[in-house]
Amino acid sequence: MKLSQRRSKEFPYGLYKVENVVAVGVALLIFFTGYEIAREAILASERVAIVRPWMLAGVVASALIPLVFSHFQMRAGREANSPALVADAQEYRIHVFSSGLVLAALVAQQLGFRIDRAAALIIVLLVGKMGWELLSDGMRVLLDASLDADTLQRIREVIQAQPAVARLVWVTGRNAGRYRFVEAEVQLRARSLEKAHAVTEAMERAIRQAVPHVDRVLIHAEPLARTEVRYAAPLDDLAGHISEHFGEAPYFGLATVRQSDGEVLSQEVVANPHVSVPKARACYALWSGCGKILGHGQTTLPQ
Amino acid sequence: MEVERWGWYSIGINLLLSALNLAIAAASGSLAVAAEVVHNVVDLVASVAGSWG
Repeated sequence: MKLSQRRSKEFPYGLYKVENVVAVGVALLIFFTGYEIAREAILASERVAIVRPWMLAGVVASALIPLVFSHFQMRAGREANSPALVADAQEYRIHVFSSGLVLAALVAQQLGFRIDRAAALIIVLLVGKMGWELLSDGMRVLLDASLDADTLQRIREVIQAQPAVARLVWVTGRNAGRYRFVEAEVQLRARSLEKAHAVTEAMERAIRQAVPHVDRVLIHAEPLARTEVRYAAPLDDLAGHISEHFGEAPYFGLATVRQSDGEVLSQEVVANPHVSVPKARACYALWSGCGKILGHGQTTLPQ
Repeated sequence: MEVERWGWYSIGINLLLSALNLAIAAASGSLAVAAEVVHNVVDLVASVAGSWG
């Protein structure tokens, strides 16, 4: 657990997965234990156990101690989102069952029933099942399985709640130990780098507030794709003759054209309100949000 | 650190359970208790590895 929190030049993403490696190791040890118990139960010669009251009291204690401990450890593990702690608490619950079986076997022995071997084999099954679950969970994280569906949905909602987000292209994430790494691609209604940066920072803060134990959020932001282009043409008159001058032109013809098929969506002719201004008259067209400006020699808008 | 503290608690509990079951297994000769001792010892090793890993 100590090692898993270290980060170095060689391991810039941290060593969080050490916790999952430990969980897989515990699973393999559980399989080994199960094998040992089964081998003894099947191959060992018949033995009659000697049962004394202090032994029964000891077995009861060995069931109660892990029961109480696992309750508090499981709660702490879930609060800390630690797979190692949760795995340990689950392992203690196996002890509660197995100690209960041991107690039943010893009591039965007192009553003349020999179920010692059967109890041992049932312990093997319990141990094997828990081992498989630990192995499966640990391997999923080690192989970079996706974050669970609920967590991904929560992240989607947080991103889409940002006003500047036009579209969430994709979102994904993975676990490493108790920590989470999140990646997303979004289209923003932001043209400037400063605004895009501010939006992604806000998005990262919101994700960290909504989802616990997030180590890193990586957001690829791209501007909303432009679907229309606005053209401006300086005009001499309302009939639509192109002017030889730009800033001094008395009128501007403005047209909005859809990029995908070139269809003209709207056209209008407006008077140039800055025709009498000595300088920067041409800026009018730019202030109108024109993508392209047509000059002399171009008599028609693109079709 | 909270998680680290639980690791040490786990080692203590496993030591206690291992010793308790070892004493019972040695005195009773029960296979089920002996198997439980192996189970406890494996858990103790796992707890130590988990805390020092």
